[in-house]
Amino acid sequence: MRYVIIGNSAAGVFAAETIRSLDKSGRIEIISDERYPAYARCLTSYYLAGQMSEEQMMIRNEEFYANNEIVLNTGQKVTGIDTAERQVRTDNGHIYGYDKLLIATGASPVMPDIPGAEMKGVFGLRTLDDAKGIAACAGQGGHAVVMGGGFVSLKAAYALLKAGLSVTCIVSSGQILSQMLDREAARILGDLLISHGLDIKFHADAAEIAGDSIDGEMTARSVKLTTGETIPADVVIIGKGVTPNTGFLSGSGIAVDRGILVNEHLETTVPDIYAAGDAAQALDILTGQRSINAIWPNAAEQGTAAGRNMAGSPVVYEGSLGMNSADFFGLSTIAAGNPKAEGDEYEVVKLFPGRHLYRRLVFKGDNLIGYILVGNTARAGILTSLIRERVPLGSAKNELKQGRIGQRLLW
Amino acid sequence: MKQILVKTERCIGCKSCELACSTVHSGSKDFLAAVLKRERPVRRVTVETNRENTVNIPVQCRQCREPKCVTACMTGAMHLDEATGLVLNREEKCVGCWMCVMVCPYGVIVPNEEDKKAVKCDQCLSGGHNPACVKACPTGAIKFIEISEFDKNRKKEFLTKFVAGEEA
Ligand SMILES: Cc1cc2nc3c(=O)[nH]c(=O)nc-3n(C[C@H](O)[C@H](O)[C@H](O)COP(=O)(O)OP(=O)(O)OC[C@H]3O[C@@H](n4cnc5c(N)ncnc54)[C@H](O)[C@@H]3O)c2cc1C
Ligand code: SF4
Ligand code: SF4
Repeated sequence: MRYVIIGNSAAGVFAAETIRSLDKSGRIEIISDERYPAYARCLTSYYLAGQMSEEQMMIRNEEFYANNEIVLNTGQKVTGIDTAERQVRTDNGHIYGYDKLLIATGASPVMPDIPGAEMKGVFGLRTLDDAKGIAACAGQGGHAVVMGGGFVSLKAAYALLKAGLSVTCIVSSGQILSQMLDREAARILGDLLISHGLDIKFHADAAEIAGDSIDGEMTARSVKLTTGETIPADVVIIGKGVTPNTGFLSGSGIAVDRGILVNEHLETTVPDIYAAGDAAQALDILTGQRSINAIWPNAAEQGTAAGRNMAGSPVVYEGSLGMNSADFFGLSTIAAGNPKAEGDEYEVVKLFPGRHLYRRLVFKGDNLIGYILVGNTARAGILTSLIRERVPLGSAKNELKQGRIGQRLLW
Repeated sequence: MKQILVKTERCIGCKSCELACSTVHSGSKDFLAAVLKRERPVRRVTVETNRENTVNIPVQCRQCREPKCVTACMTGAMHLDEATGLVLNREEKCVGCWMCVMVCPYGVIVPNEEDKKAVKCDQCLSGGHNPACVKACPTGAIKFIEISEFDKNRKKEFLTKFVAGEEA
């Protein structure tokens, strides 16, 4: 059996490991357009903060590929798939034949369509090479501008603050982390970040990036806002969301909506071709629709489930759940499910048990469907489990509404 | 592999296991000494009581066969150890992002905020694989029981259970 996996990150690596545990003799090849062994993309901000070396970011040890007889082909980009011939083509002319194929190509930052966005010194933050590029421009005492108020933008802003830069974050809406948090939670986190020196411009957008020619290359020097204000910038980071890497699939016959559409076995519309992770549009537990919850745990679980199905040990993927965990200056925040739901069908409970503490619980009938915890997030997993397993709450609901989170909620 | 299970009818909720766990995982290995040195020992077991106050269960990591904490761990720190079958944390790789805390269905991972490390039960592997809670329980309510390697289904069922039933 020949297994080919495009993508060497959460989904790809968990899939390869799972396949190897079930099929000791099949040939497993991973293709990646990056030049590193698998690393934790989520740690790129820790790298920027100077808290972590490149070596520490690797998610597996050096012997991993050899020990599991996985062939890793780095530095080559897949440009097309011939589903009739069962072949994958890359930009350096290689052709890989497969019996089972996994597409785990993740996503890329969306770059804004404004003048100057192509200049040197303007980056997305997705890869280790992005982080290296940013680090090279971002010396201590310098000025960074981060566009966007989402999770990745704030992680980047936080890292650069820690690295000793002055950082301005440009947020088009009136609050940070608007996908994950409600206003109350966002205010606690926002105030904390501001008290540590982060400059946040709300209701503003970047209109233009201006620069100088340095050694013949246009290099970003400032960002002009829609409000008319101009902010100096040694480095500009774009965090305006991501888009799945599916461009190379056009003409292949594999159906793509926002991401690659997959069924309950994570198989695409073409038999023997599977997709997993940020590139795949798979079942969402809460909505019952296919959508993309682009986080590491979902990518790893999808990779594991796809790997089983590819290796002939069928499983049904249970579905993904939107959730995330952030920790800024020691204040832990976790949100999961549909924590921002509002309206008549929902019952929303907000608790403020102390300074820098907040709980928001969202119920639908007898079920918990979302929560936000700011501060003291221990045992959050019990709440996640109540959502995931759709546990009928009964008398536990009252206990939960008082903010008590214990194992017995599950009994 | 062996699993920590509980004879609930024997547990009187005295929390000797909690104390023993904190002590054995403290630098001093002595509870009073640890407290005097201002160490804050972290325990990996919690005695929970039902709403009716009739049943107590010491709750610690279930050593899941499909551990959510491992797929959630974005650094590769939390892993399923092949040799022992245990779910263990490589603390040197852990960054305290609490992704594992967010997904552990039993709520048994302790976020150690001071060290920024996720702490959980390792069945006292480092101390000779002889769990301190089992030794400390005065009523013999906590059992360390070999789970049959042959019956995979039964194993899975047992692993996610806290309670030692008839068969055990
Ligand atoms: C800065 C940052 C912080 C984050 N923090 C968190 C966090 O705290 N928690 C969390 O849950 N998630 C976090 N995420 C999101 C998380 O990193 C992703 O959800 C996860 O990496 C998705 O894994 P994946 O395997 O689907 O894809 P990716 O990690 O995107 O990997 C895609 C792989 O495919 C390869 N590839 C792509 N296109 C091609 C091609 N055409 N040819 C060959 N190879 C190709 C790439 O080289 C790469 O190896 C963060 C992301 C970023 C950027
Ligand atoms: S920490 Fe939680 S999820 Fe991980 S193995 Fe233990 S019980 Fe299972
Ligand atoms: S807190 Fe540590 S063990 Fe838990 S997910 Fe983060 S890095 Fe992994």
